Amino acid sequence: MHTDARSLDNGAIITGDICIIGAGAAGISIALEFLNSNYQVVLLEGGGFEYDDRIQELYDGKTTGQPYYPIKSSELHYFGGTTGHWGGMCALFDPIAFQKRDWVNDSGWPITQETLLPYYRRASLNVDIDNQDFDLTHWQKQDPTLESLPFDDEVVWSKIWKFSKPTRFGTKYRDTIINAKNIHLYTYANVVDITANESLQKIETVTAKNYAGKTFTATARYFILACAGIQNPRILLAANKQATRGLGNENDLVGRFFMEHAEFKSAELWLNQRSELTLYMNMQPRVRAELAIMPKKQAEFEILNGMVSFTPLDYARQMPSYIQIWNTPDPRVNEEQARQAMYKTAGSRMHRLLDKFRSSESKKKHQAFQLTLRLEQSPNPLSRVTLGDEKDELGVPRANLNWAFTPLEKKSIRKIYEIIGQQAGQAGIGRVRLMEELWDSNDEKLPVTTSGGWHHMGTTRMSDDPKKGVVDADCKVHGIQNLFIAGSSCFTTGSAVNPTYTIVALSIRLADHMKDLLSIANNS
Amino acid sequence: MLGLGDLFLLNYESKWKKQPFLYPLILSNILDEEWLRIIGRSYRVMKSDENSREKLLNAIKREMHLNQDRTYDGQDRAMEIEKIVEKDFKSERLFMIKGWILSETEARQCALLSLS
Repeated sequence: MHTDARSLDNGAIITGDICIIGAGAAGISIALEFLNSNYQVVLLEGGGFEYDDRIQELYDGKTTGQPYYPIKSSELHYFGGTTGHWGGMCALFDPIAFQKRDWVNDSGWPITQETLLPYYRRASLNVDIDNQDFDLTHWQKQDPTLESLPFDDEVVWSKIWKFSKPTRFGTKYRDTIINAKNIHLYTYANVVDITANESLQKIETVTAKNYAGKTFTATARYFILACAGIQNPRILLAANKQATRGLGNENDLVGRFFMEHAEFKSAELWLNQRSELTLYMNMQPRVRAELAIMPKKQAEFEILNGMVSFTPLDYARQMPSYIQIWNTPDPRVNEEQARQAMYKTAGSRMHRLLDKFRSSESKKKHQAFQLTLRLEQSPNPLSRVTLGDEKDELGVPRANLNWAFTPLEKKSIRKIYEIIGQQAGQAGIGRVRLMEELWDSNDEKLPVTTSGGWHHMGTTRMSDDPKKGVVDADCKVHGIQNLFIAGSSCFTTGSAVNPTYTIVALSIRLADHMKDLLSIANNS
Repeated sequence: MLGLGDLFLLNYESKWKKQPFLYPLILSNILDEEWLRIIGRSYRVMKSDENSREKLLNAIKREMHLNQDRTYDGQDRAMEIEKIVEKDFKSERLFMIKGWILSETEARQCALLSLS
């Protein structure tokens, strides 16, 4: 079922067994798990089915610290959420991502990779990955040209990526959700407040508004906040009429530990012999590898996890960084600018000239590759989302983002390339050159060209200890019995891979938990 | 027909065989001579105690373990040096110079070249 909430009566009350706030990858995945069940699901989406700049404007906010994309353009505010500009890259979070690492402050999830593996398998269906095998040898057996670099596999490994189409959740699941009898989608339903009972231990209602001047409330047995890494903490912090610090924020953790994946062109690999590096450049059959450092070596050198991708250098040198291109508040303009930059680079005069002198065979082979690192961020309480003084048009304080790093990021980047440089030399395949920003080992700052992956993580982090996390291992907000959070804001650490696949897996796990809770409640 | 790259390689190979102490095998295939000299000059600044032809040459030879009963031509010497370079990488005797992760021996070769 679907209702455009602009047509609701002012003061309307919506009821359901569970109320999901936000219809992005997380919210839709949870709703789908309840399809044709006996439970009534209310799904509240702030936007409509298409991009609307006035709706998107509700996401505007200020940034400080490390330069970041305009907040307004970094998450999409309509049905399907940010999957509307998702790149489709899927990989598993490594086991080490979940572990407590003594050298990474505030690391350690209360769950393991093993906990998530069955949910990753189910998530594959949601994101249209036809095969769940992330094992390199599986793909090499199918295609012997997918050779890995001859590095010591005790030191460096090749981690597999798989590529979703990418699945646009808004397009793919729209009809399924609308036609579901037990799922009621309300579009143009922007949650502006949450009301708890007197003891603040149970949520009673959420209040939603829209530009049509309608204010209405939703009641449910359970509420799930699924509005992504900036809006989830914003909504909790803004729900401060009963708890001055905001709901779930007794320990001043909501909004803190914002994490992204720091990405920048950080080194070059120059080969002794031109090569295609097929495994690392390959896009078909929708599988590709990147280099990563083995966990044992991460521990030995006390560094963060990172993954290194390859781009032919003559192409990469002309391509500006995303932080330079994605610079307007309008995500559509930014996407077009990114597309144009890629088009110009691929079709540049230099490329056309070079191609004239290359045989078709040598066009695929390159001597030099740009290495781009995607690094997990060390959890940092000073990297955070807070409320600004300014309010949006519906009266909710805007989100401010301070993106901040620790010295561990720069140390890790340098060390990862030293390791890869050492491996390239030992294997006799070539040499690695680090970019100038990495030469000075005393310089802890990341370059201004550092981009993010539009991955907003950690702002309602998971921990069994309420003093260390906002949600517990079941994604339930500590101290509030019926409020849950879905999405990457629950990540304790960010691993070095794109989050969407893990968001979907974690959301399916949460849906299973909700079903158990509802079932127990019904039987008692 | 030979391409420009092939001509460069031929020229480089002959230098490598004739003057193995001055031209690191892989690095010379990647960088032009001017760059090798820049690296060499930087190494001599970093390691001022090795800043002479004699010291640099001895430092490389010390690692080579040449058999005194055998004669070596340029190619043999070059191959021996390459073994040390590989050993440097294995044992992490490395330097970062102008961003390049280099073996100590090939950095010394560049330094020698910069003095020639």
